[in-house]
Amino acid sequence: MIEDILRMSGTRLGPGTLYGAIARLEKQGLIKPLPADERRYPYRLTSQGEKVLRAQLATLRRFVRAGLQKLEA
Amino acid sequence: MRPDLIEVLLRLYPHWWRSRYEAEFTALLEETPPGLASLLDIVVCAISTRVSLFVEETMVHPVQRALPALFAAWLIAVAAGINLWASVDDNPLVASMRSHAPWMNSWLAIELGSLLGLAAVMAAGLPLLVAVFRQTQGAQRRQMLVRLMALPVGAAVVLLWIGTVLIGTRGHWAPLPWAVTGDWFVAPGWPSLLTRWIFGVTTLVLLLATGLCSAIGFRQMIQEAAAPSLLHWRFVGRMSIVVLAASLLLMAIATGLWGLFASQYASAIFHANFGGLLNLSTFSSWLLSFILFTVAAVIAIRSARQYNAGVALL
Repeated sequence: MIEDILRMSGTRLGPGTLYGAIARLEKQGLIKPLPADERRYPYRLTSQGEKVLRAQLATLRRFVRAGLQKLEA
Repeated sequence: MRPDLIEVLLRLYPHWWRSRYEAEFTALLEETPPGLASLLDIVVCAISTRVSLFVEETMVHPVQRALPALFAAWLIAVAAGINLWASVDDNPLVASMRSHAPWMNSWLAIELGSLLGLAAVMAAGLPLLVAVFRQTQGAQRRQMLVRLMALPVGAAVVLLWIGTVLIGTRGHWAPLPWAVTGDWFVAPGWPSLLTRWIFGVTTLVLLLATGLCSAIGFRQMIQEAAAPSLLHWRFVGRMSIVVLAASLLLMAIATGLWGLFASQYASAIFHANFGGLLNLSTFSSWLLSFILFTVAAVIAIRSARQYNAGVALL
C-alpha cells in the first residue's frame, strides 16, 4: 500500500501515518478489512466510502478545471 | 525492524488499537527498514492516537452531557410514577383521597407534572432527533435508528410477554410486578405464588432493561452527534428543558405532600400492603417514589443549568 501511494502521489507514508489513516477510515465506516492473505492485510472501500471518494474526486476535478481555466485565461 | 524494537513501539499505542491492528502493523514494521524517520513517524502517530482517544472520552460538549442526563432524569421520574401509580391502583386509599380536597389536589398536581414532563420530552425530543438524523448518513444513520428502536422494541417485548401470560392464565392474571402478593385474597384462577413472583420479576427486569437500553442508546447517539448540529434546536430545546425540570420538581413536591396527606387522613391503609411495584407497603412505595422523583428533579435542574451554560458555547 505504501508503494502504491508512493507511485500515485510521490510521497512515501510512514507506517504510523498509514495505520493512523486506516484506523480513522475504518472508524468512519469508509473502508473495511478483507480476509488476510498470508502477510497481506487488504482493505476495500465500503459503499459509503465509495460515495465519499466520488464526492472528493468530483470536488478535485472542479478545482483542477477552475485552476487550469485561470492559468489559461 | 527487529522484533524487540517492534514490541516496544507497539506498546506506545492504546490497548484497543493494539488488539485491532497489532498483527498487521507488526507485519508491516517487519518489512520496514529501520530509520529515524520511520521511528519518529510511529512515535508521533502513537501519541496522536492516545491524545485523540483522551479527547473523545473527556472533551464531550456540555450540551452533549446535559441532554442524556435530562433523558435519564425523565426515565427515573417515569419509574417513580409507575411505582406510585401501582401502589395506589386498586387501593382503598383512592376512595378516601376523593373525600379530601388537598390530598386529591396533590394527586392531580402529580398527574399534571407527568403530562407536562411528557409534553416537554416530546417537544424537545422530536426536533432534536430530526436535527441529529439530518447530519447522519449511511451506516451511522442506520446505527442511530437501531439505538432509537430500543424503546419501542423493549415496550413491544414487555406487552407481548404480558399478553402471553394473560392468555396462558385465561385472562385471570397479568404478570404485573404489583400483582404478586399483598393484603388481599388471591382470586381463583391465579397461578401459584412462586409463579407470580418469577413472572412478576421477569416483567420488572424487562422494564428495567428497556429503560436502561433506551438511556444508553440515547446517550451514545447524542455524544456521537456533532455539537454544532444541535444549534438550530437550542431555542425549542431551552424552553422544553425548563418545562421538564419544572415538571419533575412539581412531581417531587406534590408526591411529598401526597404522602403527608395520606399519613394524616388514612394512616392505617397507608401502611398496609395492597401491592406496589416491589410488593412493599403503600408507605414504602410512596417513599421510594418520592426519593426517585427528588433525584430526578435534582438531576434535571443541574443538567438544565449545564445545558444553558453549554448552549452559550455552541
